[in-house]
Amino acid sequence: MSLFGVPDLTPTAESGVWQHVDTQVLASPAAAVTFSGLTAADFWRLAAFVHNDGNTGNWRVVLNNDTTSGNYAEQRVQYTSTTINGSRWTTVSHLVRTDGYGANDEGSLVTVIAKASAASAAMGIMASGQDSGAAINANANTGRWSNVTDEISRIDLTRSGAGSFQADTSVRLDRLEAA
Amino acid sequence: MSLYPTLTAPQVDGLFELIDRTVLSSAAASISFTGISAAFRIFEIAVEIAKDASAGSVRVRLNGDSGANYDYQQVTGSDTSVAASRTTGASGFIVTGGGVAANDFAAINAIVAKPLAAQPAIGLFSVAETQGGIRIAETAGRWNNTAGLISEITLLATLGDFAAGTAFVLTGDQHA
Repeated sequence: MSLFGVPDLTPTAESGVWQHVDTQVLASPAAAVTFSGLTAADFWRLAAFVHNDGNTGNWRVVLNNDTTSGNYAEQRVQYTSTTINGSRWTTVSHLVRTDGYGANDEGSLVTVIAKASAASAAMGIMASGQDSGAAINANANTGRWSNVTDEISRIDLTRSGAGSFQADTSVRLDRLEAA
Repeated sequence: MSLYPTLTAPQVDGLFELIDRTVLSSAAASISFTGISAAFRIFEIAVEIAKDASAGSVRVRLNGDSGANYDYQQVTGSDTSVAASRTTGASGFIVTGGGVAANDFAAINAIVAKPLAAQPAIGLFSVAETQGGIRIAETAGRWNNTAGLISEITLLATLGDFAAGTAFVLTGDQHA
């Protein structure tokens, strides 16, 4: 609330709608896009256009820089041509991950993460699409981060392998409060 | 336009507006938002379910309608099993597949649209759930009501309660 009781027209963190936190557009290749110093929120939404460099690499969402194997569990469903495959992973080091992303592939993803309190596990839902030239593929994922002591203060989009995201990769982060 | 903006939430172009939100301070078998303005025609729902000691599923009903007026197509993923199912004549959308494990959590992100009273409502629900291990459920649902707009959205636990800490935000877009 601003001076004299006049509401700010700029949405605040308490307004109950999705609030833009930050958008990062890579000016040069990088192995990760990091949002740090985050103030706690009940829900987060990551929307990204991602472009691999010349190295194969899958895209991963990591919370609070926690890459401890076993702190996350993930369910994946991958759609490729006429095939649909499911898999469950219980010793992974990320919340959700794309599958089968090759060199120079482009794609987009939207991930919604719910963590209503420090005492709640974080639950993530991701939809992603991948253009690998001749093929267009899709993934639907869910993930669970077993941390029940911390709020989310950092979200990273990382990739597997030795390569980087190309310079046109762009990632937007929003937050939402339920109270 | 008055000298100062009104104290009600201003409509912000490009954003869904807050309709209601809540964090349960005590366990409840359902969460219901009533009296939704007819101006809202597209809704987004963000939920984190905290389940009590009973594992269970989540049912979504519109306008309190418990008649056999809901049809839905669902795809679920549980480990290597991916399954499709269609349900017709249901009394609500069961948007979870395996359900939520006891004392565990689930996330729901959904879009529900009913632009006109004369059109059925169509909903898309994405769910991360935990019964028997981490799972996914994607549901497209149709509410076969062609006589009114959405005035109420309710989430119900099929067994037990939603525990304290369950968080729910309902936002909407005004067509009118």
